[in-house]
Amino acid sequence: MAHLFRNRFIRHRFPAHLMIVLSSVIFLFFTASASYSLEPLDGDIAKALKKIVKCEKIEIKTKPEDNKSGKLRSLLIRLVGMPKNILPADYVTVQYANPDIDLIALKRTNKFKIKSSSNFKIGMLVSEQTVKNEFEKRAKRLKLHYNKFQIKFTPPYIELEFDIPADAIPLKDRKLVEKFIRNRRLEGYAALRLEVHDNMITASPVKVILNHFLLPMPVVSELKKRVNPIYHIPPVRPFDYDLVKVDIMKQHIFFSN
Amino acid sequence: MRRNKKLLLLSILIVITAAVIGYVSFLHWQGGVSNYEPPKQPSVSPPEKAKSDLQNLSRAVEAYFIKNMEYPRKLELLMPEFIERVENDPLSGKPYPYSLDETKGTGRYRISVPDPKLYNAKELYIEDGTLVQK
Repeated sequence: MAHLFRNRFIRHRFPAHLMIVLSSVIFLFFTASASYSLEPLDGDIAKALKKIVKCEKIEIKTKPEDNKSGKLRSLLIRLVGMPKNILPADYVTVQYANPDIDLIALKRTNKFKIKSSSNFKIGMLVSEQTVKNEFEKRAKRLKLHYNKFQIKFTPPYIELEFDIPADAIPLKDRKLVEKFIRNRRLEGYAALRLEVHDNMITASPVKVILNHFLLPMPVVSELKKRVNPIYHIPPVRPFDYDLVKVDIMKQHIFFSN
Repeated sequence: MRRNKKLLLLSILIVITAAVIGYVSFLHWQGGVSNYEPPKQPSVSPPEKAKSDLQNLSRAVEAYFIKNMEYPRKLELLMPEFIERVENDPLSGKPYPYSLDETKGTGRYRISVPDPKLYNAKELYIEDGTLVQK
C-alpha cells in the first residue's frame, strides 16, 4: 500500500509542476488581450502604421492605467513630415483616450485597429514655411510668373501681398475683377480667414485691395463664392475623422476635429 | 413747374454723381499701400477679453501638444511659435494661472482667471478647450 502511494507520488510530482507552469502560461495568454506590454506594443503599432502611412517619422507614446489593470490610459501617435503631394502637414497627432487595441489583428496580421476609445482627437499643424513652399511648387507647376507673393500669418488672419499676371486667374473669375486690372497685372493685398468643413478648406476674404482699390464687400462676397473650396484635405488612413476647426497661429495653421 | 422739375432732376443727378465719385474716391483712398493691414479687431469688454484670451491660450496649448506630444509646462513656452505674447487678465492685471493634470486620459490642462469674483463668477476657466463659467 505504502509502495503504491510512493509510486503515485513519484508519478504525479512532475505533472503537478507542469500543470502549474502550463496554467500560468494559459493565464498569461488569456490576459494578454487586456494588458499590454508597452515597449513592443509601441513598436508593433509603429510597424503596422508604417505600412499604410507614408511619412518621415512615426512616433508612438502609450501611457498605462495607474491601477495596474494592464489597460492603456492613452495612446498618442505623431506623424512627422507627411508627403507634400498628399498632405502638406508638418505634424499630425492622433490622441486616443482609454483605447482598446485589437491586439490579435496587430500581432497576427500587423494591422492597426482600435476597437473602442473614450475620446479621439486629431490635430494637424501646417507651418508658414510649408504654405509658402506649397504655393511656390504650385506656381511652378502652373507656370505662373509672379513678381511678388508674400504670405504672413497675423492671427486670426492670413495676409497676402501679391503682384501676379491677370492671366493667373481663370477667365470666368477674372470678369468679376476686370475693372480693377491694370497693365494685365493684379497687384494688391488680401486678408483672409480660413474655415474648414468636412475636410474642405474655404477662404473668407475680409479685405481685398486690387490695384489701389479696396474691393467693395459685394464683390468680395462673390469672389468668396467663386474661389471656394480652396483645398480638400485628404484623409490620413487608417484614421477616420472630420476636421472642423481651424486656427491661424503665429507660425502655423492648426486644424483639429 | 417744368423748370422746377428739371432743376430737381439735375440736382438728383449731381447728388448721385457726387456720391459715386465720393465712393470711388473712398475705395481708392482705402486701397493705398498704407492700408495693407488686416481689419482692426473691435474693442471688447473685459469679460469678453478674458474669455477670448482663455480661448486663444487654449488653442495655442493644443497646437503645442500636436507638435510636442505633451502639454507645455508653462504658458511662456507657447511664445513665439504659437502666440505672440501671453496676455494678462484684463481686470486684475495678473497672469492667467495654468495647471496640468496628466493622470487622466491623454492629460488635462486648465487655464483660469486669477480672480473669478471680479467677473461675478465662482469659477471662470477653460479646460481641454471647454470654457466653463459658474
